[in-house]
Amino acid sequence: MTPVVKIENLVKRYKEIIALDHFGLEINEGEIFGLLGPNGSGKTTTINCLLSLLEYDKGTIELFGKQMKPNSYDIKKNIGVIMQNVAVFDALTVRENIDYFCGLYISDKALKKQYVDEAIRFVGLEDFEKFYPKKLSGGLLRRLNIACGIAHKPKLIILDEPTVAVDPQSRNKILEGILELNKNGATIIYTSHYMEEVEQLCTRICIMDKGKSIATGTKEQLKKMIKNTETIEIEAADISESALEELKALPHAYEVSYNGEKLLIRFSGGKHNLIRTLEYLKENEIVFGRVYSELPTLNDVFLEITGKALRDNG
Amino acid sequence: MFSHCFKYTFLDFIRNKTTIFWGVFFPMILGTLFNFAFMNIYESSSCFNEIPVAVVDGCDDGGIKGLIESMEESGSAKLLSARFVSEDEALKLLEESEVDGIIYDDMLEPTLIIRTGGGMNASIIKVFLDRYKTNASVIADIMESDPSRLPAVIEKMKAETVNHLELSNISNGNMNPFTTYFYNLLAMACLFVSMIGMLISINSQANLSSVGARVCLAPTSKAIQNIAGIIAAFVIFYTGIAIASAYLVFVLGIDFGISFGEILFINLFGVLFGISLGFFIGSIGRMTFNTKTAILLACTLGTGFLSGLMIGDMPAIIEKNCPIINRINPSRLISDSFYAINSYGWGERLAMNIIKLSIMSVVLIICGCLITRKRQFKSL
Repeated sequence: MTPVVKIENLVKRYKEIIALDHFGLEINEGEIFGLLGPNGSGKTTTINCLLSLLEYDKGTIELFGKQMKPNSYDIKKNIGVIMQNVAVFDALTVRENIDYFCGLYISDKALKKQYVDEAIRFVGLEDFEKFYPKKLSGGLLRRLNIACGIAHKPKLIILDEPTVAVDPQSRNKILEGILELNKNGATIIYTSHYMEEVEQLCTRICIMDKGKSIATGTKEQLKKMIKNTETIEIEAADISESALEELKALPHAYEVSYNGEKLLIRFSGGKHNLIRTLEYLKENEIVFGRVYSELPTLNDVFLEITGKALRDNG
Repeated sequence: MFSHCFKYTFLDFIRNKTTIFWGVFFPMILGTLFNFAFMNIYESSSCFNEIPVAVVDGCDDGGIKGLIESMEESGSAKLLSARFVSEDEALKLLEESEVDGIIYDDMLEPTLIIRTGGGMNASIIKVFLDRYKTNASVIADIMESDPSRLPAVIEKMKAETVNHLELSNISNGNMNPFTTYFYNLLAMACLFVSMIGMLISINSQANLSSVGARVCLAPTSKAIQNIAGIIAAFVIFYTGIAIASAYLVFVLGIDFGISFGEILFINLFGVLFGISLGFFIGSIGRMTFNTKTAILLACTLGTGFLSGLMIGDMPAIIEKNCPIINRINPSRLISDSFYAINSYGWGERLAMNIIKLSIMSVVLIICGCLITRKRQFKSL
């Protein structure tokens, strides 16, 4: 089956800075593909090259089996884009904005009206049809932005950090909407630096750093790539050096750290790691408070591969 | 597709309060202020009023009295408003500034007392009297030497006097020099529309606006979108400038010296140029919206300054030192088109101005379209 998106060996330089360094990926029809990476990792540059908005130095980009060019109108009519920045006209109402952008793709008036009505219902803006963008909250504005991008029912939808600065209610609405769009047949490319969203939504994920793809796969595949399988965090007031050494000697434990308040133990494989740890603390009469056991996250994957956290702000 | 783009660009622009203010209401406000400022200046300094003068009868056969009476009878423009009074009465009138001078009407040697600070009026009375004395002296000489030539000489003197007193107007236009400020005001209003022209191009370029990025991604010809935007802007702001012009002419009663239809005709090319200029400036470079706005303001006010918006004599100064600027300054071309119709009617001068404005507009639009045609950028 021909992939919907195929990028090979893509290189993009901004003067001395290499934004994309021989980057490649393939996205198949029906996927929700996540591009995950910290700010400046090259996610948006990838999207802009993909859309032929940006010139690139090297590489090939194919969409729907055809080479993507700035004047590939036949490809463009099948693409919907939700930009990071809200891109609407301030002097047009919600309906007018959606109708305008939908009209750039759909010329049949009756069909356009039907699509616009559906888009308004889809993002839940029925009560705000006659509102101007300035009267909308940040979340509603994002929903309008989405409606403008998807009203023409594209086969490939690209969402570039659509939930930045969005309230939780709108965020959930947006994420549910993306799943519904995918259910209706659209292939989705979703870029974000929020790993929780990517984990929740995406069927496959590409982790990017410094313009390179550092790992690609399903979230399970990605997590299997790293040593860590479980992290146990325990609130403890006083743990001696010798106790820390003994904890490190527990089966499958490969890293133990203590900052005076919290004890952190990382395990690689094995079962019953938590029970064994608690038994050790009890036997040695070490007083402890709350205990957390976490499975590895994409942040752990990123941390282990790059040596740094995915998000500075956690 | 064209009608779709036209409809929404039209709605976007007509609801844009800022641009409507600058394009329509600002010229009305400035016109009102100009009117207040110049109306009184013109009436006090430029409109010629009869000069009040007291004539003291020095003798029964004084020639001044006869001359003034004959001037009034001839129906020509009245230079002096004379009051024939006694000396005491004349001095009193002069003291109370009721008159600007006293003429002692003596056939042999008429004399003059003028009011201190009488300004131009006092000078005119003096010139009048000097001319009278010269003519009287000539007549006296001829009477002595060859009296038969006297009728011919007097006829000649009369003709010269009438030419001096009557201003001839070859075009039936408005000769008020302050009218050019209103010509420049409309020229500036036309160039202010450039702000909207700039919005059209910014809204179609991915490297300048988010909306531009969305537009670039659409499978629609950019030229169609841009031309639809230019026409929508033209319709709105041509109407706006027409309203502003109507306000100046019919509400403020400013006499442009040309018909309202002729004003609308010139506005047509002015607005077209304004939009073209903005469209072109909006298309070039990666400058921010604010930088481009500043460039356009500088263009609008700079060309307005050079065409005499702030200093009326500026075009004359430029004509003397660097005339090429007057030939290509769009603001000057617009204001000069008003002036050309007012002074010379529909002729070569107007045609040249209109042709230059049209060519510049077309060139700017074509260049702008070629630049914004691009859909791929080095950076966003």
